[in-house]
Amino acid sequence: MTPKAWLAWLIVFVAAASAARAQIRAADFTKVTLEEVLSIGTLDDDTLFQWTGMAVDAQGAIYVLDAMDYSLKKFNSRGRLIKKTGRKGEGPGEFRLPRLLDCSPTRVYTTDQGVLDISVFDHELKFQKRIHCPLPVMHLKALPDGKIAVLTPGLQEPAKIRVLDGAGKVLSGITYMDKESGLLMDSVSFVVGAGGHFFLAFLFQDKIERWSADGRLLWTRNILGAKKTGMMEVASKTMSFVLPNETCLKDIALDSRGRVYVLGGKLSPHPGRDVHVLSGDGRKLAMFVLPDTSHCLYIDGGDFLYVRANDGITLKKYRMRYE
Amino acid sequence: MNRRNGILTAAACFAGLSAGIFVLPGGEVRPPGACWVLIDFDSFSCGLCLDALLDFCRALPVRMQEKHVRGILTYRPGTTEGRIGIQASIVRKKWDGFRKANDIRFPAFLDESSYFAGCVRNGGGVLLFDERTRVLKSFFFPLKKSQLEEVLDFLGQLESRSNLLPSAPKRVMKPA
Repeated sequence: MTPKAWLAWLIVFVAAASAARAQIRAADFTKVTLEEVLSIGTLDDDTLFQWTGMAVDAQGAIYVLDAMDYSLKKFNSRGRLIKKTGRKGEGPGEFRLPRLLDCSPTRVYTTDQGVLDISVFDHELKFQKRIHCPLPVMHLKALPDGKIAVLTPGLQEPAKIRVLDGAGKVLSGITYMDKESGLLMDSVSFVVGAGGHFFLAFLFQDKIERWSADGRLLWTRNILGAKKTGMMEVASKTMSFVLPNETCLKDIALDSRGRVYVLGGKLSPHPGRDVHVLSGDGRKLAMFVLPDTSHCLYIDGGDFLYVRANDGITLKKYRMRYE
Repeated sequence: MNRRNGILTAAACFAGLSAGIFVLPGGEVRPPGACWVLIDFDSFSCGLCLDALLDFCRALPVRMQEKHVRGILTYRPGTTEGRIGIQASIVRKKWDGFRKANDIRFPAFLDESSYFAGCVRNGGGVLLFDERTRVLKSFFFPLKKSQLEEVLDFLGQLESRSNLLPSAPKRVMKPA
């Protein structure tokens, strides 16, 4: 091939690469605005008292755990309460402090703080069974194939995210910290994306990570300027601990295009309100501020955003508009 | 709240209670009940922290709860980004849900001025106000067995001499 032909090929290649890059950039955005489309629970009704976990199924039904009246509630897509179950207790279908919730196409999974088991309900809120876990579940995500991913705390060993089958048998997992860096410093919120990739937001570190299903770290980012949490010493007569006392990040969610949404914690300029948006490969795309503080983020299959308002008395659903 | 302010507030609470009078938003009030349960709203975000309160409530006969027990919901205004008006409504609403779910029968009053905030620690406690002997006793949660027995004994005495209870409150307080 002559030098002229090489040059021509090079020009064509660079032009094609630039066009592809421009196309990708066109899909990026710098501003997100929120349009409220649904609000469940007000200060004057008895719908919600302090919701903790929630999830949405493919039909748009909304499942919510309420810690104040120990219940699991199901709302239709218009926000009308259509079913409620649960009461205070430790028996089947009962709760002490309902906390985490997620749903698969056929099941609703819930956890209770201080109780090791995962309670399983069907979509009609009929209690099905309990899945035993050897350690407390700190975070939980239902996977589409009937499996569950759970985070268990690391006391003697680093924390792990384990993938369980429907009977609770450990199928696989990732260890995302290879050494002990302090009590609770390995606490994360996580979400599972396409290909079984794990996206982690560290609660007490300014760190977001993407891991492959087979446990390879793909990237790590910080979004708060690498701020460090404050530490406090908790001492008793027999022992003392040093614990982090300020959250860096609170929760993480993915939309249908693989974009990553991270809710900022105490160290964010607007604690519990700042939502940072990253691309799937970790590029910072945008940031927006929620109208009220939230403890979690949830994005359904239609890319609607669900967050908390009124300190857990209200659940808000927003349409996100990208500019 | 620093230690000095805490002591001053506690002293003010004690002085008010010893006189049998509360000064709450809305005016001066003589308490209609004799056993006052101080409930720290901040512990509502930690369900397990409420176990001591629930254990205490379950130990109280329903009739005693309705007749001789009153609650005081304390909270620290401004902890939810300064939305004081909304926060008072939130506290009322959560207490209502919690009370119904746990079959708690005594009414509670909202301490909007944080009068008792300095008196509660680790989830609150119980004040026994004996108007006849002019003696106030206070216990913090979780109550020891002997303390619970003392509360029940005290309520039993009140029940047996209920016709000697103080007259109706000077002002009617609206429960939260």
